[in-house]
Amino acid sequence: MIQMKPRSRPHESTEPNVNPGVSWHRIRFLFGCVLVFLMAIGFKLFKLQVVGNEDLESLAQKQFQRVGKTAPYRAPLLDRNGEELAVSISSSSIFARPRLIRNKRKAATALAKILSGSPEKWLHRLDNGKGFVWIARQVEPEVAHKVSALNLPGLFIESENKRVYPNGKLAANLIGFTDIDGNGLMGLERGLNSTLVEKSQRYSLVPDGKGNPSYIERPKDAQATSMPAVKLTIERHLQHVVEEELEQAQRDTNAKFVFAVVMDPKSGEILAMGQTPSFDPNRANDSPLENHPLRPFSTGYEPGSIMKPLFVAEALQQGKLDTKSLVDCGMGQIKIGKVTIREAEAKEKFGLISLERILTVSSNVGAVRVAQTLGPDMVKQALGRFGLISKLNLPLPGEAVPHYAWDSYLKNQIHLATVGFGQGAAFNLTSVVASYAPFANGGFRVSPHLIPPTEPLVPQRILSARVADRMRSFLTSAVESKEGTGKAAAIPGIRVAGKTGTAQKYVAGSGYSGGKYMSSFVGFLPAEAPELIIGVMVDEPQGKYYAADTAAPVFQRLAGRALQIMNRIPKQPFVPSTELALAPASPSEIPAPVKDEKGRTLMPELRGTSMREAMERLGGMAVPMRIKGTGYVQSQTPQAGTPLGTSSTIELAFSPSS
Amino acid sequence: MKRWEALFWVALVFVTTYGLISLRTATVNATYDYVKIEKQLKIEEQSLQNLRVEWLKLTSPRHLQALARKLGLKAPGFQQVIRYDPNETTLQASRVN
Repeated sequence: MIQMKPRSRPHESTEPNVNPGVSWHRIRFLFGCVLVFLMAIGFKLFKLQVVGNEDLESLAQKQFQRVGKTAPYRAPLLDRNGEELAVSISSSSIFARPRLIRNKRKAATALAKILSGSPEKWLHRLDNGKGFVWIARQVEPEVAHKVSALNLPGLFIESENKRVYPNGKLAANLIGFTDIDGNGLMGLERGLNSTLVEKSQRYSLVPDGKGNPSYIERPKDAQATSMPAVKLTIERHLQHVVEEELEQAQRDTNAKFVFAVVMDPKSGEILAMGQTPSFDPNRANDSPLENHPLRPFSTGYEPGSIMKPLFVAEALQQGKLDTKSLVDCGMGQIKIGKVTIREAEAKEKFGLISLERILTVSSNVGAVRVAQTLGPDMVKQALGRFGLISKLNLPLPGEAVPHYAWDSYLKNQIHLATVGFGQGAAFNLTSVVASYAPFANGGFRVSPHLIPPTEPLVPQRILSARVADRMRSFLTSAVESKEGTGKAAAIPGIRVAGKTGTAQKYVAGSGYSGGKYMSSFVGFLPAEAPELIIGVMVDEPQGKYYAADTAAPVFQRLAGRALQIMNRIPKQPFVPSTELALAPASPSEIPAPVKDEKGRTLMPELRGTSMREAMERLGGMAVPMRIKGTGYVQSQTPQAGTPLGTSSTIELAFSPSS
Repeated sequence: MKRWEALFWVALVFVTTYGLISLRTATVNATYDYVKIEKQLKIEEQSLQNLRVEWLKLTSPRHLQALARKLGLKAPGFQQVIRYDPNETTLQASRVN
């Protein structure tokens, strides 16, 4: 009988005999080694995953995540009625990474079929050894779609925002344009660049195996971001009318440039600012560079006789002359040192004439006399008060500002004389138009602006209401009088006040150029209650060059249409009379009291006002007053803009001349 | 009994794995659909923007005036405009000349 060894269960075995050739000690040792090895791995894993894992985490994120950028967005520019003047639309741009393209010839042939150009041209571009090549920027969606459908490795499509100017040439010089990357290069696009642009935003995404994005942080929709549109004071239809009339004027006069500014004389809002020739900002590169600058703002010119009313007003305001003063015009000439200044026409020989007639007939000699009466200090003061020697606060690049050492410049008697009739000092048209606003609004200096101010502007009086009224009357005569130089600006049925200016053109390097003139007209209307102030400049007219024949007719055509578009035609029919009624400032002309956010009335600017007007302006305020002297307000306490309380006392010091 | 228990756990693991994989696949497919729709939306948005620009071009004063000229139309002069003032009882020509 065979004796079987009983089978033992492993767990019952104390010393399993798995392999009789391997000792149990060796197995234990091997198991121990494996355990140590596993523990080492576990320890390492613990160290990597739990202790000090931030660097590794960011490293892993860098490996798996991709960072994208949204296209920079530019806010739209709107006119005063909310109509778009410049908008941004999303478009697609195509680029290539040539090293990723396997068959460049095939890619070039495919591109040539979709985009213009020969396959050789595209092959040359793809084969230039660069790592990145733009194929086409800001193309139509259909084109991008076709390229995308090629599914060629190495060709990519990127979303970009494209700036579009839907009105073409309209206000092109004012709005300006951007480069293809969306950086403002000219005009408001450049001046407001930081306000308009929302920079591109970064976002992260994890692509899957096919390269499709799975966003971790969703990119914001660029169109729906917080960048608000910028509303301008410009009126689109008025701007069009201005440009149309300027184009007509250029055809009539064969001038090099014609430009104009339309402004609200009460608020200083610029309603239109145009020029011709201009350009289409959608294709700015196709037009000559000289058409790009905004000439009403960036061209300094010698205004000629348009300056005369400023010095006459200053002489009246300072009490140096009055409306009855007679000025000796020397029968057509005046000698200053070795220089003889004559009237524009040799036949004009005036003797003693009034200030009104100096402006009506535009006497150079009379204007020289007025400037001499004022003297250099007051002439400089007048230029400053009318805002001609300081920069305009407009968000535009390239303002033409006169940089003279005025004190020494005006001490030269010849310079003083020539500045008196508008030669020898250059200003931009926008400043000159703004300098006429006090004649139209009762004596207040306005600050021209293109964007409505967020806080109400405190008007600054620079002329008394009486002087402003007188100037309004004088300038109306310059248009309505039979011998007025501005007759061509007269509009049947509407009273116009204004002044012509014809100046020889100064050409840098060669001095005053014979046969080259700058002819301009600045006027406001309706003269009884001015609603618009308009300046027109004709640069180098051919043939007839006097402003009466060139700029004034443009003003006439433009002004009537402008009143109509702005719906500011006076209700009451104009009854012709020889003199403009010079009533004291009507309640509508007296600025309403300005209040602060707490509802407290602010002390108005009273300097320069007559006692009557000061009382009218303070009439509604129950505040005790102390008055010293007579005439015009010389100083006031408290200062303009100070809140008036029940315990306030107003002190006004008057003197015969302000 | 223990054999059934083991089988249950294996089945549970299998079903859970299958469920998770199916869920993941569905999510990925939904993402593809989402991306596709997003692309389409972008194209539509672009078309809308282009149409808006086209509308602005068509309604620009210069274009309207060119059309009006073609049709022989002319803007009325301000003397021809009669203004209605609700505070007045009669219509009044803005300019009488």
